[in-house]
Amino acid sequence: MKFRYSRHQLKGRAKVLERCFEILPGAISWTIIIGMTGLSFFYSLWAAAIMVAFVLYWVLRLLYVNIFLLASYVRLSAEKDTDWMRLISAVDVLHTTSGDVLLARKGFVFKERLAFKIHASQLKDLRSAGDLPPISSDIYHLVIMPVIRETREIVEPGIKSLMGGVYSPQRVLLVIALEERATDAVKADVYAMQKKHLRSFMDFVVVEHPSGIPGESRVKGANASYAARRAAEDFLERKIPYENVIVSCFDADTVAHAEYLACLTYHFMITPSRLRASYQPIPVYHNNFWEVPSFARIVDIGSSFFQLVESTNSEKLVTFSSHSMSFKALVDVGYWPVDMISDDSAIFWKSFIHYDGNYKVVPIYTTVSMDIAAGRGNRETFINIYKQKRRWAWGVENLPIVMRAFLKAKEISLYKRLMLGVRMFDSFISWATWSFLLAFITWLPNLFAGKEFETSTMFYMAPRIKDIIFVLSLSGLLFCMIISLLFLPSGVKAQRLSRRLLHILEWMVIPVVVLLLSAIPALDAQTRLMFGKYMDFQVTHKHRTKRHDH
Amino acid sequence: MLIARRIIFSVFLLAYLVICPLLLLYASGYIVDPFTREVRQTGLVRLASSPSGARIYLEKSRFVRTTPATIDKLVPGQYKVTLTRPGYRSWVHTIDIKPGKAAVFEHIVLIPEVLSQEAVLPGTFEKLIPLEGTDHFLLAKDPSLKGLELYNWKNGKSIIISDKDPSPVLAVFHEPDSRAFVLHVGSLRERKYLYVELKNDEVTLSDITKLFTQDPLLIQWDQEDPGVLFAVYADHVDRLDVFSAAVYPKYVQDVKGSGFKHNKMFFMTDDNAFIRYSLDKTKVDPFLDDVHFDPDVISKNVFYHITFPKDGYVLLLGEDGRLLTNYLPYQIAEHGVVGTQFNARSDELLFWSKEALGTASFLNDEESRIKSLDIQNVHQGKDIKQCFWGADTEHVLCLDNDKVFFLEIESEGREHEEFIASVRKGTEVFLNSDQGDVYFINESGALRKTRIGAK
Repeated sequence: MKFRYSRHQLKGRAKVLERCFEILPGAISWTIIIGMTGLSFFYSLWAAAIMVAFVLYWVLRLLYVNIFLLASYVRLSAEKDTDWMRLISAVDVLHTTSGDVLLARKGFVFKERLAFKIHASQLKDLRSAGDLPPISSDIYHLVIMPVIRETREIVEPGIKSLMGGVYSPQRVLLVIALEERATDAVKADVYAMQKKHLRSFMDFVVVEHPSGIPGESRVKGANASYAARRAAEDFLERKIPYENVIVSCFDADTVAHAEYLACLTYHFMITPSRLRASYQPIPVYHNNFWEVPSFARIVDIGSSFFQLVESTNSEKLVTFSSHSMSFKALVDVGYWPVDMISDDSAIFWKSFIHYDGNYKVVPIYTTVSMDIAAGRGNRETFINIYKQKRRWAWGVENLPIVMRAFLKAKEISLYKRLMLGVRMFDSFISWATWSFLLAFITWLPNLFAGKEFETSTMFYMAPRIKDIIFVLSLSGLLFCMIISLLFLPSGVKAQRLSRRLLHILEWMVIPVVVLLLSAIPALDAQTRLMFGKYMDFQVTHKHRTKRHDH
Repeated sequence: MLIARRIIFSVFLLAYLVICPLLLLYASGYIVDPFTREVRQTGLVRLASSPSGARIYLEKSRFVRTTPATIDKLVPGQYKVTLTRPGYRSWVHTIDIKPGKAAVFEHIVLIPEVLSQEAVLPGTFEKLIPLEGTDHFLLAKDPSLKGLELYNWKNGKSIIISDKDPSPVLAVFHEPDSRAFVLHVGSLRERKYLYVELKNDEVTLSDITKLFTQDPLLIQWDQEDPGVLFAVYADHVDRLDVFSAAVYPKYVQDVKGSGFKHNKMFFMTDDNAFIRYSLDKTKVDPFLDDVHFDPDVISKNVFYHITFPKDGYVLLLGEDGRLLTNYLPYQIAEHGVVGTQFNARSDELLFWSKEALGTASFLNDEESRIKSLDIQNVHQGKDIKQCFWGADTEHVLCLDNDKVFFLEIESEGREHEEFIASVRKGTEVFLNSDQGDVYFINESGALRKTRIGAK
């Protein structure tokens, strides 16, 4: 479908619709918070009953999510020792034989058996789809790393992770998308790195993105798109078809797992309709894990867990942070939006709408490690994280655009539009309101109770039921603590036992952290959008003092 | 994974759809009766006592938990609840459990089996006169002025007011919260009015007899300006400035009710109008102009004492004991009321006649702006002299027929009328509600203190 994925330069009905949908998420969130407070005051009995229903819903959803967190973790563990290059060869074999291909040796351990089963099933699906990929030797990677103020200390580990991976960097075109307005020191760093690592890659290009191009905002997407256009010219010159190129847009601090490109190549090859797909790794925040305050650790582990859970739901998975996609799709849809902050999720929706709903996100069970937003002290770290989470929550800017598109996109089934629309609203509204409901509003009916409610059984039974449910929810917390410990990569896990135990205790602050560094930033973002106070892109400050092995 | 996810989602959705209504029904008291297998709505009882830790008996069953506790899933009906705690009197009550409702007994006060009485001062006394709103009460060893002591219950010190004057004390005039009082002493032929001021546990006496032209019905003043007294006579009011010894005769005339608050004078005129003056009479305006008393409601030829227990609340207590207010239906009691006490936290008034004790709740409907009363008769007595609110509005200390009782007025019935002490005939008592200490003169004339429980 032809659709201009932007909120700018709208006219007439589209402009009105856009504004209405901009107002809606904030209005709903505030209505829930204020409405429930008012209901607690005026109709305490009803409020208490609603809160019991809500708390039950919340705990069931928590347990439900834990199941998929476990499933996803098991899958990630199972895939950890996979020899992706061998699997790539196995897919290549499909071009030459119609018989069974040799997969990795079936082991006796559960994880190995599981991995074997998954890969065998993927191969079977590919064969039955009949959509064979190009052979691996024809596949190339484009890695774009936008840089504006990140120092060499932040960027270079990511470059080295590509060089040190199992996939040959000679098949990688690395593009540093450098903002023209970056400082001379940053530019010098970038060019020094280019000079140093040029020969390690098929090519290492630095593309300077001029400031003030008409129609562009000061956002990362504009920089990345500019670089991608230059890369497209490069591929044309090299006579490499876009269909054979996988583009990865990495945050400057992204350190890819050694297997990342191999794993990505395999998933690209094994996925039928691979050109209409994005590939989403699991983002982890281990680069400076032990260097930041505990609240920062917990909030970003939460983000990783969220992505782990999401990865099990490919029907509703949306790209987030560092991810990859078919370069052909990127060119077809007109690159990343150049006027939106949330380019990571926007590119999915843009592609989804462009291809009339025939676009998906394929989870890939490998990690990309990034920095936790940090500062020079607790206060600065807190502020930086708050701003980062608000920027993430600003992803709500996609909602009005997607809704406008869905109203017109008759080619996309009504069910799919409804399902994704409801899902979008649900995720943003719950993000902004649940913590408030759980932390404060659940207690209000009893606090504001009038004589009538005070003498009802509900007055006494509701808190008791909620207490039991909250105790039940502790099992979910305990589960998160365990996964959190297991989730630490070997380098970090080797930390002292006392520090690891302390890390478990850090989970106790989760209710406060979620409220302050998740719900409030989300409500902040929705309120800004509601009042038309649009946000500018602000680069998150990354601060690393030590090097870790990942 | 997608199929597994859909199956698990369906299971959770089903679980929610089943559990949620069941949970809400359970919270509303619904259970399946184990005997009849029928679904029925139950109620519960909430019991909290001071001190806590009392054993709970419901009929003959003892519960494992002690107070505070909530006993739920009670089939509607009547139950006899007993609380016991070693060293305390049992609390027995018949509760009425209604479906979906909670019977709440949040402030049960367990009275010690034996209330110890502590001697406060040596000697014997004939009278105890409380000075409401101060740290003091008056004690009379004999009817004379030299036998009158001022006792500070906070620091336990007592002061002799006048160690030489043998004149008999005829009356004590005091306004709540005021640190001054007026003594009427002497015989009818040689009457004397003494203005007593309390300053740092010392008293200063001023003879203000010459300010009075005759014996007033009442002496009133605004506690914010205790140097300006108003002597109320049958048809007029004199203003008396204590410190300048000035008299303003017939300061206000043709009135049959008066009260003083916030440097204002409030009067009820002979034709039942209400007017408000500034103390210097420079400003006059009506008050209670939104209140329309039925002329029959106001007693003729009866003087009304106007008080303001809280901003926005007006009480008019007639000499005949008729009690009126500015809340509909305006009349709290038709006759016989001898005393009132207002609970400013709950906006509830305690009022009593010799034979009965009642409460009036002042209700403000914000929407309709209607101010109304909910009047309850809560206790019958024989010769009620004094009543005090306890720490909450469920308990009242009552001096009835020279006996002090502790009443639980929210729960009906005499079963919560706990006897505290017998007092000397005709004497009053004082309650320090912060500590739960009752001061009284026992039958042999000794000043005693007994503690019935702290706040």
